[in-house]
Amino acid sequence: MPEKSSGVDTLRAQVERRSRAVAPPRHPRPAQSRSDRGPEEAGVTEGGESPVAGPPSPVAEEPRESRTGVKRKGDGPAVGKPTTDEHVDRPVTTTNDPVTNLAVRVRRPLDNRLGDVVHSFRNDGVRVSKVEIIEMLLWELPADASPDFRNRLAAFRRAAPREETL
Amino acid sequence: MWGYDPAAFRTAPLLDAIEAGTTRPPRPRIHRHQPDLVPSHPDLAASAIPDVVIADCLAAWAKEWDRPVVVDTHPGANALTDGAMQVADLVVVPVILAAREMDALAGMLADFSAYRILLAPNMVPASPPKRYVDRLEVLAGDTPVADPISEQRWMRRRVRRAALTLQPNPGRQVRHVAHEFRTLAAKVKEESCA
Repeated sequence: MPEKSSGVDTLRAQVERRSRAVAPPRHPRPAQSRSDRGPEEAGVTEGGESPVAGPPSPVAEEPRESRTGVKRKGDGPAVGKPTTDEHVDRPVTTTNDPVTNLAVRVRRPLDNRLGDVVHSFRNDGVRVSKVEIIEMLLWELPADASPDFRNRLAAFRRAAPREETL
Repeated sequence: MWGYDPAAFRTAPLLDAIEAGTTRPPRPRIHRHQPDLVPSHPDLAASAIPDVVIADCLAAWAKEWDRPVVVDTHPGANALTDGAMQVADLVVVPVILAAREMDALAGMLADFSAYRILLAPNMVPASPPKRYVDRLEVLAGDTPVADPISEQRWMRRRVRRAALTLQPNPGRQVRHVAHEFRTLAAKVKEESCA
């Protein structure tokens, strides 16, 4: 029995769909403006802006407390703002992480908004992509379904329902 | 491109060398008016060679040869190309100023942002569409962009196998495009050594 299951496992591993992963280069670019660098460390900037790929700028008014369920003030359905402290609830990512295909079909106005944001950045000389914006938004997601996050979801469902109610 | 016909030979030098590992680099074929060449083989595409093996072999061979090595990779994502790119001091990416090609370039630059890349606009018409030039500028960001290689439709009909930069008694057209390729080569050398 164990041998039969291992053979099946082997077959499954052979047909399993794998995601493409780009290996790190052996001679990387000298001015790495991504991930580990803060705005003051990056050797390359665009028009005075901090590099887009770096950590988000500290713009939040107060720390996030989604694990303890403490509500945040006032922001309502706005996109979650990053905090200035140690990002305790953030997923830990590295440049070597494999990628998965998050195939999502969204309504056109939302995609248009995403495109507008990307173009707005680029008009300011900041190189950014849809993928990066979405990764950033995913990175900012609360770790669980806190009451505040539920309120945001309810507000979104009211403002932009996916189905018409009869 | 260089007139090498793998069907005319019993051995596949590149495959043999990869199977032998890093210890024995293949011997480049020397042909007049052409660069020294290690030819590929159709079976290479069918071989499931990991990218790391390709990278290790190329790194060891380049050291043995002790000269600049240009690896001409097949377009698209595959282990052979990935291996060559991993070990490269510089990845030269031809850029076509057209809609789908620019979309592909955007994806490629996002995937390979940690790599040392030189963008080389290729087959550029005399009046390239401004929107693609603008888009290239945005996509490139701080990635260096070489001077363009102009579109030369006569090259599609060219039969001679001599390299354009090595062709004896070149005519006006060949001199013009050879000058562009030499400018690109100088830029490649500059960026590789940077």
